[in-house]
Amino acid sequence: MEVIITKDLEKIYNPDTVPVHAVNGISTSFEAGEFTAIVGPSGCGKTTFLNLIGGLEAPTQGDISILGDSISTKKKSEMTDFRLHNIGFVFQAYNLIPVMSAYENVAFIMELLNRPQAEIKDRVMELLDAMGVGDKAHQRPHQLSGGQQQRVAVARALASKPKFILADEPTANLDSHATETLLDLMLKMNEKEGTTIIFSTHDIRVMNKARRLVKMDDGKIVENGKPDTA
Amino acid sequence: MSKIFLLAWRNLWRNRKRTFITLASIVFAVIIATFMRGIQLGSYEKMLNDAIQNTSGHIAIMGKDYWEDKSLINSMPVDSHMDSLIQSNPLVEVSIPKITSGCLVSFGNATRGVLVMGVDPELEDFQSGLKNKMIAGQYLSSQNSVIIGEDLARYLKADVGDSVVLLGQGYQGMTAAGLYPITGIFSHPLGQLNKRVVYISLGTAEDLFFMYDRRSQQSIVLKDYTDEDKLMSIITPELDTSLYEVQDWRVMNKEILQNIESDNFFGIIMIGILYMVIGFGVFGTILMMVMERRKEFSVMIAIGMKRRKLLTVVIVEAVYMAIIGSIVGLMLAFPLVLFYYFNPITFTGEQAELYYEFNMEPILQVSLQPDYMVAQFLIVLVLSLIASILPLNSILKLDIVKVIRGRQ
Repeated sequence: MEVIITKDLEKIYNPDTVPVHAVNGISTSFEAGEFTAIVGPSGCGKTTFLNLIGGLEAPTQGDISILGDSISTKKKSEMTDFRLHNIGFVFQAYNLIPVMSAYENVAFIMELLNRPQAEIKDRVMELLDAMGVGDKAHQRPHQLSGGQQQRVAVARALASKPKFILADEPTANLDSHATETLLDLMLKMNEKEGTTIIFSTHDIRVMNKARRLVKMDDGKIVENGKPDTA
Repeated sequence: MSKIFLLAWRNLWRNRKRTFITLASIVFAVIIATFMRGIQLGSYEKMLNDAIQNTSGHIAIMGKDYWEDKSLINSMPVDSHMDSLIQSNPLVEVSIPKITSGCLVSFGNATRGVLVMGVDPELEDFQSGLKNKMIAGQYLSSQNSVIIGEDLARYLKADVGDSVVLLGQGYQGMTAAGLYPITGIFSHPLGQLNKRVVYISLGTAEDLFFMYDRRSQQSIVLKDYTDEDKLMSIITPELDTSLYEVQDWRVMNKEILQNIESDNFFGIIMIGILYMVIGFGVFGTILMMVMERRKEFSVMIAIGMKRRKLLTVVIVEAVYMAIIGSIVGLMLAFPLVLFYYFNPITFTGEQAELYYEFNMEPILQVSLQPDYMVAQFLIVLVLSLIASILPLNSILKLDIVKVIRGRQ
């Protein structure tokens, strides 16, 4: 089942001064349960493409359909709500809330959804344990290593059981061991929870873990398929 | 919702030094403003209380047109029914009949225009505590005698035992003249009473001004001044409006109130300037708190937190700052206010002379009214909310993608 479909997607920055085609006519789709890497050189449009399908930016042209619902025309506040219910985000710089513990960071999304406290407690601890940071639940982000913070960030992204997770260079700030661990955990959660995970990277080790590779250059998809064929 | 309060509380203490400095500025402003305002309002209360206690009372019944033209021709006949109605009313502290008229007082070659006040000695003492202000001789008795202020005595070069001449106009144009021995000299903190008032007993005044069974006015002092309307509504229907009128202390002390109003205006301006300076400090802190968290806010919006909730977090932070700052400020200011309420500052020397010339007691009394203290709290609260408008606006305009990518 296709969860994301993009049609002639375009994003042009500075259209009136020096136009930059960050995304240039992408038409593609993503199936439920995919573990997909979007790869390509810096400035090829990976992050912009992720932002567009995550509803963080509006396309200049084209359409994005998520779970059969066109998001291109949604208002900002509607998009915020849509993201809350359907999309999990993992950022390159972890971006955990520094005044909250690991537990509170993960619980935060569920609290925004007004889930019952008992459910929140079970789900958060289940996720933190699964990500191997259950014993760090009450520590603040600055007390955790980069790899641990990113694992908490993945747990946060999974907390509300979103339809898919978008991760922008999630391993860029991690060493090779932490990268390996994080990707294994993400793969495990992808299999266990069936969540579609789409992430951008230019790290060859990360690409090899993906089940599908989407190669981009100059805002276009230049190759698309399994890692060994792409 | 509880998460928002928790988040705001923790955010407040992210940069402890900055928060403490901002709170210290609020605390300092609240202490200064509370004390300044307390002194200002205390001095107004004292001025009014002095005027009410020594002359007007809270309510005065007088002859029709007496207020406009204080001639004895406009005096009022004694109404024993009204007297008993007032005396028996539980709201009334004391009711004092008075006969007052302008006269010339003369001793030797010195003469001065004065206000002769014919009063019941005991009631007058009860109201104004005049007996305690005697510095020579005896307090006023029902005998044909006068007591005068020390300044007037000095001017007349008269002393206890000397006799002064009072010359004026009595009821219906009769000549009021008499020779009265000085039985006592008082020292009053209010300059005008020291210089220009001669006290005689009510009976003596009746004889001097031919005011038999007539009074200039009946001054009523209430136990609680807020009961004024209640008593007015009891008295007014009982009065023959063709003979009597009733005035309250606001009308009778109009000039004092006008002075208070203009002085109060400048006092408020001064406090306004103080708070404006503090307001900019609070604004700076809130702005910094928002600007340094733009990326965090952007991430929160990205993962699904509505901007409305983010605004609430920042508002709660501002409110926390206002509540902590103003409550600590008030807690520190209150003992100071309390101390000076029970130990008012008494001026001496030239400063005291200045007060005396303006017919004011040279005492700085601090008000203990809770409303001006509550006002400081509300001012700081409103100020903090106003100071957060611009930072809140920047959250509304946040371009989350640019901020997350570090381009804004």
